[in-house]
Amino acid sequence: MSVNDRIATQIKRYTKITPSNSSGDGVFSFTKGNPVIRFSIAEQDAFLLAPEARLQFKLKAFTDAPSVESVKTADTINLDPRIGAQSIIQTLTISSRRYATSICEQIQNYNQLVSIAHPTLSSTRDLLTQRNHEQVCVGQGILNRKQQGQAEERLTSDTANNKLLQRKYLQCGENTNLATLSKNKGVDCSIQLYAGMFQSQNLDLRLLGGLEIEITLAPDANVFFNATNTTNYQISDVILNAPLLYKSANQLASGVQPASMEFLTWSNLYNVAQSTNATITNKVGLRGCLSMVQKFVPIAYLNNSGQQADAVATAGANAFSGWNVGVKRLTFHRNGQRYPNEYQILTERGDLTPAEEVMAEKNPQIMVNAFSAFENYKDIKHTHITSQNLANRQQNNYFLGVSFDQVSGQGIDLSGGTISTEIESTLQDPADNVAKPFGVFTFFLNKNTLVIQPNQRIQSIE
Amino acid sequence: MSLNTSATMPVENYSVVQQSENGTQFGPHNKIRFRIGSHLGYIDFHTSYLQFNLQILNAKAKMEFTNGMGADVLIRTWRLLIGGHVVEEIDHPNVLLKVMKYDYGQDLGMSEVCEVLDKSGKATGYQGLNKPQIVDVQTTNPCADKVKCVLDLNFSGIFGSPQTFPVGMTGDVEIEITLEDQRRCLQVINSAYFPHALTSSTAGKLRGRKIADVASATTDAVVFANEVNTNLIDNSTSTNSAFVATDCAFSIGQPITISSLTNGATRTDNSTGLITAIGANAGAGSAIKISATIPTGGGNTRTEARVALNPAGCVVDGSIDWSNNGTLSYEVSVPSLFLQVVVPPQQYISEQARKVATEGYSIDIPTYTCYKSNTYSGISSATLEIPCYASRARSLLTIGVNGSQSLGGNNMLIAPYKFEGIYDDLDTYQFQIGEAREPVRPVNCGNLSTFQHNVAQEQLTELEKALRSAGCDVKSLRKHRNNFVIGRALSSYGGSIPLTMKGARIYLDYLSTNKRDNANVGVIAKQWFNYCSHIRRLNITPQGVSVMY
Repeated sequence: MSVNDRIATQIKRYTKITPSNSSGDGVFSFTKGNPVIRFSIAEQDAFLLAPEARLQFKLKAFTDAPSVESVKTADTINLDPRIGAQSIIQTLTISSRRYATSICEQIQNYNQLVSIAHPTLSSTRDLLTQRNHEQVCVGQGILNRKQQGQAEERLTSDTANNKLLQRKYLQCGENTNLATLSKNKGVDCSIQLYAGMFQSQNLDLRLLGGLEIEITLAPDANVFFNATNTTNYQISDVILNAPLLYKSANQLASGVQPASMEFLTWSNLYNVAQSTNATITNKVGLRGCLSMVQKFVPIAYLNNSGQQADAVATAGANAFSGWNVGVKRLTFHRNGQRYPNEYQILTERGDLTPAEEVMAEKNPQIMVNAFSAFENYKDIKHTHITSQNLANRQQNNYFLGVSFDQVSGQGIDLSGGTISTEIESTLQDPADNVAKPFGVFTFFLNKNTLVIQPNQRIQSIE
Repeated sequence: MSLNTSATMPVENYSVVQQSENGTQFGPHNKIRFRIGSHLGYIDFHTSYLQFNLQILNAKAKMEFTNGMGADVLIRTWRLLIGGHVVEEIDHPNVLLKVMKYDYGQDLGMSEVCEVLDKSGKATGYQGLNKPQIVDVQTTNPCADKVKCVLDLNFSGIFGSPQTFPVGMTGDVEIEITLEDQRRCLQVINSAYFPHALTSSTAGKLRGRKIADVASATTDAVVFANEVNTNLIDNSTSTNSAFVATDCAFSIGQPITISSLTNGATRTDNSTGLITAIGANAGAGSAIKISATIPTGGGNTRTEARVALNPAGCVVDGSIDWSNNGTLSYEVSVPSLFLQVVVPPQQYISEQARKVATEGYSIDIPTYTCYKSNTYSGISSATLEIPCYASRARSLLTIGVNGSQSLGGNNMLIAPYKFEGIYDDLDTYQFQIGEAREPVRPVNCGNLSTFQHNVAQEQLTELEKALRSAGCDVKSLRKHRNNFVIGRALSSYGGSIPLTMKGARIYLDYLSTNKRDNANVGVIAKQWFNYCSHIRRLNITPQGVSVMY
């Protein structure tokens, strides 16, 4: 709130961009319509204030295949409590509009990445308040005085009716015949796009030749839990709210020179861990890899709305929960050598069931490394990953991570070699505590340099 | 690293582990020594940390750390030597950390992060200090689990600095940590004593845990109010466990007292007894049932019933003392420093070597020095001498801890040892730096003495300035009275002043008459921990390392 004496030389405007591939009714859906949303941001003398951009839409849920039956009070349908409406995005692709063949960033399994990043960098209270308003993720959207001084587990119990409260966003009324489409008003969402490009800095739209953003919607079975295989969703009134900062006279006068720009990107690889003694090896081809995060989900939970149904869970175990696979020993390798930690991380975890090993569900050293994948762990001030939440498998947000460059932020060159995670674990399935395969979502944060020859093409993205 | 693109020079960095050089197992009062060899070249201490295994030994009841702190409560003394020179020597960093890190430096979200890393908070909150089992104080030994703790050591000027440290040029860095007395840093978990939230609509904040109303005339069991979402969770957080009583705050053998409103009238302590069993309350949700030998209620209906450990003492039957007096201990094993080694480009190393060889290379290290003093009971006007003559002093923080409290920890019914500053109806304080009194008028703290515990605004402003100048990013002032600190910022904007030939003293004046009902009568004896935040300069020249104090 300080005063400065500078004169504004640039104009900021909030532009609302509608999808370039919108049909007549403006409805998008994975099963009942167009599952791809495209936005085109024109090449212009302006910067896109990417961290402030929001995707706005109206979300409607239906319980029958023809998309007529609305959600009723008795239905136990819900979205993931941590990421809410973010779960509808399966893939996010950002590319240059002018240089159409050049993809700047593509995040497969985008919703899985958000389910790591948001709980890591937001406290439970953040999720209850700000995130709730943005993406209807959980709770009542308020933080009452009673909750202010409470321990984490009390917060969980106080919001034990999350499913009911949250479902109110999606439901349309009582149990009696309400199955009319006209009564399904939907719920408004305004979500932040968690792309690496959108985290790092303002984007010069002239330099990039405009932007093309493509969103692929997620399958219905991955979006809802406590649902049936006919539950589906639609989104309408889709808008990309994109603040633009127009260039100043000085910036315009200097023109666009052959230039380069640096930005961050996330990329994803998917593996399956099938052994309690496994090495997950990837060849990623990234030149400036900053960090890696890995999340484990039982194979049976993926693309299976039946498996996701769990009436007992207060907050809902689903495909976006991050499960601790009973990690006992963890080592990171680069080209077969231990890197960046020249040691193994040994945890307190034994061979008993998760309930019996509840005290060993977390290991501070693993958490330090995991936090470091986003920023220095000493700078992480708020997180949803608390002792109580890690102990409660239904609420779990466990993930593994490591930073490859904690000092300079320039990353390491992985273009020619491999990066591996050697993990000794119990690999216990949450349903029966028997060792079963887990899907491993691995995300890499990379620093890229974009070299552009104006009016020609993007020369390279490294 | 953060989620922004970085324009800094690319440097290779990786993490190595350095174990203690004088053993692998340590107990209370033991010293742990580390030597960070100069062969490592450059270290980024900001991303380095200390990890050790901790196991509480011979505990008869479930235990937790005192003072709401994490494992850093175990650090009694911190010494750091560079090239053979003492650069940091902090006595009682744990008392300072309670102020700087836990009580004033964290908001609620940050304290939750700390629970994961440092094992702070309630021991029923899954820190892993205790085994998830029902504890019998007569037979269960040990009831503690071995758990790993991670400490960021941010209080140290070396570990708190974001600057890469050239250990290759300074010579070996030696660290010596002395561990705290177990009776000062451990306590029987206080979930069994005090509620953490206001749960009574009629009686305000009450001692103990709310339980189901006691309607029967023949009571022999206590069932926690069957509210899965409220009272039970306070005592057992195992919402995903089949047998939640394993995480119960109470232990078999502990004496308890039940207080209640008898026939809706005044609250009285009307039952005492010994816990004989703990189990799940069959058929009543997942509430915990405590069986106890409790006298009958005399046919009266008791409402708003609460249960707490009996303050009368542990030895209810008069024969055996289960308070574990004298045997409680803890073991710190395999303490290890995880160090982030940095490999700068050769040009950078050459340039730094050239600088050392020509003009010399200097590193500023902010640190603290503790000067202890005492005041005696009944002295209502006192002076604290702080014989600090540092050349670059930034701030003074003074914490007056109860000087006559007994050591807690090993006895489940003796109050835990508290590091917190006692307000004790202080009226005014004023610093003197050299011959000048600062601030020009004494700081009035009298408002705190009112029945409502009003805020002493001037004192609060002075305190926040002092904390910030001492390197504390103040996030919360909720403990301004519970952990009363007297502070004085010596310079603004990160600057410093010389205390050379000056020293400092504090004049204290307590209220001569009590301003409120039930105020403390008289002034209690206090152990004063006076911390000076100051900067030491490390000069590296071809002749070696020297330190400017």
